[in-house]
Amino acid sequence: MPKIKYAFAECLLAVMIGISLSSPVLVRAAALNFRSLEISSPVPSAVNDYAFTFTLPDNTNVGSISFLFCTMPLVIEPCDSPAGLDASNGVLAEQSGETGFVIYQQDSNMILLERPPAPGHSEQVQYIFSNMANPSNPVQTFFVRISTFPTFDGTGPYTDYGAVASATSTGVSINTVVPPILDFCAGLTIPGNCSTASGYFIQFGDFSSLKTSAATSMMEVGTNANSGVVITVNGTTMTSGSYVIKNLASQTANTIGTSQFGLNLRANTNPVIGNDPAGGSTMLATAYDVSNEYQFNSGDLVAYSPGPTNLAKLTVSYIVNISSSQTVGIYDTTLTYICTASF
Amino acid sequence: MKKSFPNIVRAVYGFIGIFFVAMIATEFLPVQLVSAYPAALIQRSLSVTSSANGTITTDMAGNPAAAGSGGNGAETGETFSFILPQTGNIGSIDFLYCTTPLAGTSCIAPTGLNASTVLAVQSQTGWTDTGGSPFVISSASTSDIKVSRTTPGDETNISTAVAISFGGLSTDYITNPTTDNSTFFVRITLYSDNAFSTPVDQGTVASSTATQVNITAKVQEELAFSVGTTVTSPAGNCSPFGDTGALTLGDSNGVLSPLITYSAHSYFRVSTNATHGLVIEYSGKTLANGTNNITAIGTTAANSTPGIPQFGLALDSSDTESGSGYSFAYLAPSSSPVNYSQGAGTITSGGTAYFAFDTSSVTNPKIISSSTGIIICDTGSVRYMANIAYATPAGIYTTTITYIAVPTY
Repeated sequence: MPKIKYAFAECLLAVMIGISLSSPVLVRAAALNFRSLEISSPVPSAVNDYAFTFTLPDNTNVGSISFLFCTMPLVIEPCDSPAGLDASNGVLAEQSGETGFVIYQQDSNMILLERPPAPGHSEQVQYIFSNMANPSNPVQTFFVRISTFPTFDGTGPYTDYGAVASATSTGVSINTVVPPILDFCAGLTIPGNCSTASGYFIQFGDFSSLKTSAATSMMEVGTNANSGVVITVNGTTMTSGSYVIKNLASQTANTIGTSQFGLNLRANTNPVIGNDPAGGSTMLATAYDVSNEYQFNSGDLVAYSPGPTNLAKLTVSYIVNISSSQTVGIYDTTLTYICTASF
Repeated sequence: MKKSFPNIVRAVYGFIGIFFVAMIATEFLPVQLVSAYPAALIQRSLSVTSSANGTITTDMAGNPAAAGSGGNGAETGETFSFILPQTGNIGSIDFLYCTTPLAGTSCIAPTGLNASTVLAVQSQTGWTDTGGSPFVISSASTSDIKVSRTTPGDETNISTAVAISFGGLSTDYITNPTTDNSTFFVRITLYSDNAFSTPVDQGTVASSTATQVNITAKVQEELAFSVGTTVTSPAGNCSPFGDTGALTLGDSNGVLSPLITYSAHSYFRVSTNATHGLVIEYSGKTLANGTNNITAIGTTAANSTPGIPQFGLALDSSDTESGSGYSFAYLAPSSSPVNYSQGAGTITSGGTAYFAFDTSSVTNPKIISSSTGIIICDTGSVRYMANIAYATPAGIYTTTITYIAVPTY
């Protein structure tokens, strides 16, 4: 009888063990949390970087991670590869969190990372793949199904799962034109830009052999001409019929009582008149670039820029002296400044 | 010869004779005898708070179901209701749970049912209880609840239902049978005394556990994102932009000036069910023509200065385009570390609109807007501003600004 009892107990134990071993283990896959995909360029077909970020929900073993690129996110649906997307040349450029992975397998819409299975940690992880080709459709939302596996080769049921989404877009193509620009003006005053230029008539009053008559006018120039601009002064010296006030053919100092008509573009002390150039990057012609030295020859270059210049304000100082023998009359002249830009 | 009858025949005749005498005698008694069988309860019912089997306390997702709710079969409440068939004293009631209904037959308790956790009568309505006291629990065992009155009360309401309830609380409940789709019966007996001795009314009610219907629906990750320069209505379905994204910046001929600031708008539209939010990033270079470029305005938001090369962008909340343009219900413009929120305003010299542009965005896209949760349908209006100097080399300047939507699920 005892033997029969033991036999029954052994049989029962065997059945219980058998039941225990054969019972299916119900594993419920958890969701990968805070998961995202950041692509470095949304341009269709662009080859760029894909950065996957997510948080593992538990500490179960992780041996492999699968990235499956599809037009739909749900794992229960067939995976159609987004047209044009190509992961076959993807390179695992960076990894953080759970590390030690290498690419085990890849094709046009799948990358499988593997490592020796090791316990995961409930932490944020990131995997960046370079050399990934975007879908070719201009406006294409695509999904990546991410699954973790306890096995190194992605076999068996996955442990955790989550999908991320991204989209291609063509971006905004901005076109604009910067035209050839030459902004040049002359006037008695130009307080702002050329739209503020005003005045064109200088009235010296009565000349005297005992003092110098002086006055100023202004010019303003700005250009994006590659080879810059040249500005010349054109006209005659002051005349009254056939009588003239002699122009200064070379740089000459102001001399009261001597017939002189000249100009320069500097700030002067004899007489106190004029201003140095302001703004821009224009240069003055040597003959008109010395304070208190004046000259006038029609056609002379007075200023120039070797290249583009922002607005430059130039002040022209005129002096007139007469001798005591200067013939009575009304003396006048018209000077024209010509600015020539070379684009 | 005298014929004699057998004793058995005489006994039969004697019994018949006594029976008829008794019949005649009872017809003349002053009071009719009370029936020995209890009367049947009328319109009796049992209402249960849950038909889930007694093992169920959560929904299929594992969310706890409250005691007394439809999804909790382990902690249920029950209400018995019936119309009394006759007036008279009621002192106690017995609720006996069985797998079969007939009173007087053997009672097998439904598997898993447990009424021993009933601690009190939760409610009792309709009872007249004249001269008596309310029902209280007398005893509660696995399959039997007994209630009694300290003093039996006279019940005169025989026209409307009376009711009595038990359980439905986390600390006071009845556990349903543990098998799905299992019918069980409760045999109810009312006694005129409070010692469960003299039954006066009786009836049986039935109920059943039922398989819970688990409904599963999957909501997939969603992202709809588009960029355009021709504003179109989102309509009711958050219609995406469908143009090429070409944008001309300048006067009517697309020409810039050192004297006048020009601006133009592009748009992005996004919807997502990303519960952890979404960011919109931009990436690109400043306007350029070969090696010449228009200097980016920088990462400190600044206003317009005509005559100074500037290229910047910002979100323009004023560009609503009659409901088709800027419309942020979920997104917010990014204001830190770089402020892209001040694109509305004037762009004259020292205008009120402020712009920024980070040239490093070409390799590290920069966030221009973000949400903390889902987005039903938001449209962003990005305003681009450009100024040139007199010396800005002539040419056709271009750039492509791309926008990237990054949802976090």
